[in-house]
Amino acid sequence: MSTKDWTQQSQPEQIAESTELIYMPQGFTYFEDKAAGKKGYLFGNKFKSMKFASADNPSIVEFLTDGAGESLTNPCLINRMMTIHNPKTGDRTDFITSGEGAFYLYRFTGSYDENGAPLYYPPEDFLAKNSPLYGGSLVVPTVVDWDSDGVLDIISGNSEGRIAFFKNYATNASPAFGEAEYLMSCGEEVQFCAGYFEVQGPDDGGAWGYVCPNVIDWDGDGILDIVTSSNSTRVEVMLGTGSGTADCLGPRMTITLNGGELWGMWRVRPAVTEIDGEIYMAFMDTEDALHLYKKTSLTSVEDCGQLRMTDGNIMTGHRAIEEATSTLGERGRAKLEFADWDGDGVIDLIIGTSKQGSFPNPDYGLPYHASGIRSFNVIYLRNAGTNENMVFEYPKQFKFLDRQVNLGSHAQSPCICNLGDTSFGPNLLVGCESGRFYFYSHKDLHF
Amino acid sequence: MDIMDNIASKIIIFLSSAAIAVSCEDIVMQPDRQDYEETVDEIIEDEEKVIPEPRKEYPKVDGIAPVSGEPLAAVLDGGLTPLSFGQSLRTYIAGCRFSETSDECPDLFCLSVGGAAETAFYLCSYLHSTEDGSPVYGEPVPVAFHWDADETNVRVIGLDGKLYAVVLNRDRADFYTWSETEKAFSQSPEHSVALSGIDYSVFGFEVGVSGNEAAFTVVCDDGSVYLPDVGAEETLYDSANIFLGNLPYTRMYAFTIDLGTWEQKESAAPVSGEIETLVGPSGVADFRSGNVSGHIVANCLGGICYIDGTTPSVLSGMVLSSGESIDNRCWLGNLVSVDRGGECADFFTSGEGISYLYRFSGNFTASGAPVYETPVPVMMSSGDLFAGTFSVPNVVDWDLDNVLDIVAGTSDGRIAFFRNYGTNEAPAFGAPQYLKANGREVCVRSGYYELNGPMNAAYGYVSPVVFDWNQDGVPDILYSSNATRIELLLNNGRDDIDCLKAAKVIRLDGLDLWGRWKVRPAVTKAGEDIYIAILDEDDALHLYKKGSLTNVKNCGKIQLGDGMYITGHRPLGPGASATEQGDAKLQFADWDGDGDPDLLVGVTEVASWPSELDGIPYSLGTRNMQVMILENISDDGGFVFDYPRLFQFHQGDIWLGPGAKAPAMCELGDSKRGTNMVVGADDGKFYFFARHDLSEKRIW
Repeated sequence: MSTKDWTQQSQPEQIAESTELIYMPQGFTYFEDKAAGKKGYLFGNKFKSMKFASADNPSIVEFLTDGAGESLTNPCLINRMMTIHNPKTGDRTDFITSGEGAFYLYRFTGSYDENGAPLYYPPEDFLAKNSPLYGGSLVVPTVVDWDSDGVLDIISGNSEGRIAFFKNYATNASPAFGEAEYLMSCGEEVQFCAGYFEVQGPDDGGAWGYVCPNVIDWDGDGILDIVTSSNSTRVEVMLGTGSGTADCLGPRMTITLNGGELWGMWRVRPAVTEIDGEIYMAFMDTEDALHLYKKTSLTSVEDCGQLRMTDGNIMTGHRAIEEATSTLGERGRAKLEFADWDGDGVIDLIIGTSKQGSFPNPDYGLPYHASGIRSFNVIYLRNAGTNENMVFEYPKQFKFLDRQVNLGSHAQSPCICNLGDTSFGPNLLVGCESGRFYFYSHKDLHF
Repeated sequence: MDIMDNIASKIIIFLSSAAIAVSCEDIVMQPDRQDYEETVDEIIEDEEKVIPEPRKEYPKVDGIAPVSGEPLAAVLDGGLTPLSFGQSLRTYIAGCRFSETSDECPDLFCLSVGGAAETAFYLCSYLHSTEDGSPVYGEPVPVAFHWDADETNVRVIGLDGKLYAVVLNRDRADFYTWSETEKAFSQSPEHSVALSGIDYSVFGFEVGVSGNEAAFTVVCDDGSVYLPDVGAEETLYDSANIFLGNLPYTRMYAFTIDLGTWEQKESAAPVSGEIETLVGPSGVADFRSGNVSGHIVANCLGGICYIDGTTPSVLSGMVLSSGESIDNRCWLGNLVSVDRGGECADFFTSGEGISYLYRFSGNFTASGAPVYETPVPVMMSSGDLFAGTFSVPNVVDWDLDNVLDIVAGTSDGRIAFFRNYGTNEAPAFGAPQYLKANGREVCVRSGYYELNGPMNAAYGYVSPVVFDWNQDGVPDILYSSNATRIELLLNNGRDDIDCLKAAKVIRLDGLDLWGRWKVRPAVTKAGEDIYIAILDEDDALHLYKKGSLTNVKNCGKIQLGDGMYITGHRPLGPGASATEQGDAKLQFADWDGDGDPDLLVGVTEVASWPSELDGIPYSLGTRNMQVMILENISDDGGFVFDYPRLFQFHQGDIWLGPGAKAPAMCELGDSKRGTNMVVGADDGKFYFFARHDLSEKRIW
C-alpha cells in the first residue's frame, strides 16, 4: 500500500503454502529481531494459542513456548496481537495481546527455542493507575474473608475460566483491594473450560469457561472452599487447603446425586448456605427451574425438590421459546445468592440474570417483561416461609436510586457484602460483563 | 510519520468494537525485568527436574509362563484376584449362605451373564479374608439351572432348612429347590406363584422370610421409555445439553406369599411412591440392625440409598465412615444383604466389574441412614487377572524395575496397575492397584452427557496409552474415554500409584483435540518427533505431531498405500448408529521388526476397516478376534499403511466377545521367536498370544 496516496499497489500474494497456520485465527502481527536478523509473523487465536512463523519459511508454524516444552497460553481469548516497535533498536519483538479480558504484555527473552520460535517471558498484566477493580469479563464475585485475616476479600470467577482472589489490605468499611491473584489447584492455575463440547459449540467452549464460583466451608474444616459451575454445567467443589498461598485448592471433585453427576443448566452460580448445621445448595435443574439440594457427603447431595412460590408454582428462569432468538443456550446463566436481605432472620434469594431472564415463568417473569431497555437485572425473591421450608414471594427487580442502570447484556452476578456502611443492612456487590464490580448500598436499592 | 514510530509515545489498541488510546505514562509495568528473568529461569529449571524417589524393592516370586490363547493368570498370593467368571461380562450375586466351616463370610451364589460366554450359575465357597478384610473365594463351582437364561432377577434364599432359587418377574415367582449333592437347582419349580399388582418391569428384589410368610420387596422402573426417538445420526440431547429421553425413576412394591398355601396373599402395592431422584433402579436389600429396619436401594449408576422402614417414600443418602459418599465405582446390577441370623446389615454389590462387600460400621447418619466402612473387593484364589471389563492393556515397565508390568484402563473409568513380581518370561502379577492423581483415584467418566445417554454415567471406558510424553524418563499416560477428548496424565516419578498430576487436555491450537469416542490413541516417537494417531470427526485415522506439552500439530489423515483414507465404520442405517463409530484401540508397534511403526488395531465386531462398504471385520460376517495389523509400507519413515490383515489364532478365528479388543505388543513369555501380544477383551481379561501362534489373514 502506498502511504502517499493510500492506494493498493500490489495484489495479495499467498506467502505460506499451508492454509492451516493456526486454527480460528484472530490475532496477527509482525516480528522483527534486527540484531539476530530474524523476521517473522506471530499468530494468536480465539483459543488462546500463539504461534510463530519465520519470514524465511512462513509455511512452517511453531508454537510459542515457555522454553520448557509447554506452549504459551494467553489467559484469555485473543482478538488482536500487536508487536511494540522499539524506536531505538527498530525491533518489533515484544507484543501485546487483547481480547475478552485484560491486556497482556509478552516480553521477548532474546532467545529462540529449538524450533526457531522466539521465547517469551510469562505474560504481564497491563496495569493502570486509579482504575476500577478488574477481574476479567463476566465476573462472578463472592465477598468473603478468604485468607482468614478478619477482613473481607473478593473471590471472583470470570469468563476465561479462572478464579481470582482480591485481597483486602484495609478494612471492611473502607476496603483497599490488591491486584487479582489467580487461584491454583495442585500446582496448576485453575482453568475451567468446556472445550469442544459446549452448549454454544466448540467456538465458544474452546475460548471460555464462565466459571461461577461460590464460597463456603463445604467440608466443615474451618477453611473456605469453592463450589462452582461453569460452561461444563456440572457442579464441582474444590476444597481449600489453607496453604496461605495462591496454590490453595485441592483437586476438582464433581458433585453427584445418587451415583450420577448433578446436572442442570450451564453457567449458573450455585447458591449455598448453612441451615442448622447442614449445607444447602440451590441450582437451576434440567427444567431450568430453581432446585434445592442438601449436602450429604463430600461429593454428593440429596434432592430437596424444586423451590416453590407462595402460590405453589415452581420458578423457572427462561422466556418463552418462541421469543428466544438463540438456542436453548440462553437458559441457565443465572447467578444465585442466598441472603437475608430484609433482615428478618430468614434466608431470601437474590438472582442475577441477563435481560432475557424471566423469573418465575416465561409469561410474565422478570426482568424480561419489565421494560424494553437494558436494566439492572438483579431480582429479589423474599422467603415468606422459613429456612427449613422455603417459599418465595413473587420476584421484585432492584432499582438503584430510582434510575435505570445498564450493566450490560450478560447476566449480572450479585452477592451480598458487608463492605462499606452496613448500618442499613447488607450491601450488594454486582459483577458484570465489563469485569467491574459495582457496589450498591442497601439504602440506595429499591424495587 | 511512520505510524509505528508513534507507538513509543502512544499505544493505540484496537478492540473489536472500540479504539482506546493509552499513553505510556499511564501504563505501570511489572517489577524489574531482571527480577522477572530470574524468576522465570527458576521456574524453567524446577520444571525440568524430575527426581524420582529411589524405587522400592519388591521381593521376587516365581511366576508362570503365560499360556498362549489363555488369559493371564494371577500368581501372587495364591493367585489372588477380584472375583470374575470366565468370559462373562456381568455378575449378579444372587444370594449367600453360611457354610458349616465359617460364620465370618458366606458362600455366594453368582449368576454370570453377557460377553462371549453363555449365562452360567456358580457356587463360590468362602475360604478366608485378607488383611484388609476382602473375602476370598475358591474356584467357582458350576451350578445347573433350568430357568430362562436371560432371567437375571434371581434370588437364593433359605426356607425351612432348604435353599431355593426364586426367579421373579411381574407375573410369577418360581421357587426352584437346591440339591447340594448335585450342585443344581431343580429342573422345574417346586412352587410357582402367580402374582398381580406389579405394574412395571422388575429390576431387583429382596425376600425376607418370617414364620410362614415370604415378604417380597421389588424395585421396578416407572414404565417410561428411556431413549428418545431420534435418527441414527442425531444426538440424544437438546441444545441446552439436556437429555431428550426419559430418565426411569424407581418404584418399590411389596407383597407377601403365604408359604403354606403358596399363594400371593395380597396384590403387590407400591410402598414408596415414585422415588424421584433414584433413576435407573437395579437392586434392593433388607437392612436390619437392632431395632432399626429398612431397605437399601441401589441404582445402576452405583448410587446406594437407604429407605427407613417407617417412611418408605423418603430416600436418605448413604455415606462411608470417611464421610465420602458411597460410590460403587462400577455399574451396579444387584445388592444382596448378609443375613446373620436376623442381623442383616452387611451387603454385597455386583454388576459389571468388581463385586464389593460393604460392612456396616454400626453408626447412623443424622437422617438415620446406616454408615458403612470403605467397601472391599470380593476376591478369588487362582483366578485370572481382572480389574474391570473392557480392559485396555499396556505392557510396560511402569515401576522402572526392568520388568514388564501391565497398566490397563477399564470400563468403569479407572486405570489399574498390575505389578509384575516375577520376570518377563514368567510373570507373577498380583491384584490390581488403581492409579491416583493428587491423592484421588483416577476415574474418567463422561457423566450425564454421554453418547448413549445419562444412564451410561457409570462408565468411562478409559483407553490409556503409556508413553513418556515429556521425555523425562518416566512413563506418562495419555487417554481417551467416553468423554472423547484426549488427556494427559504426567507422571511425577515419585511413586508407583499416587504419581499422576491433574489431567491436561491435549489441544490443537488451543481447542481440545476431538474425534471419535473410546479410542485408545496410538503414540510413537519417530526421530525426534512424537506422533499421535486417533480417529477424527470423520472416524478416519488421523495423525498429529506433538508441538508442545499440550498442543499438537495437524499432520493430516493417514492413508493407505493407494492414497485412500482409512475409516472404521460400517454404513449408517437401521441398527447402525453413529455411536458405534470410534471405539477402536490403536497401538503403534513395529510388528514386523523393520524399524517402522506398524499399527495394531482392535475393534468391535461391527467395525469396518478401512472403508464402509467392504471393510473388516464386519464384511466377513463371521466371529473373529477383531484385532488387525496395518503394516507400515512407507519408504521414508512416514506413516503409510497397507490394507488391514486380521489376526487368527492357530490358523483359525477365535471370538472374545463383540466389544472392542485392545491389543498390546509385548515381550512377556517366550519372546525369542518374536514379540508376543496381549489382548484386552470385553470380560476384562488379558489374553496372551504367542507370536508363533498368530497368523494374519489377508482379505485384499
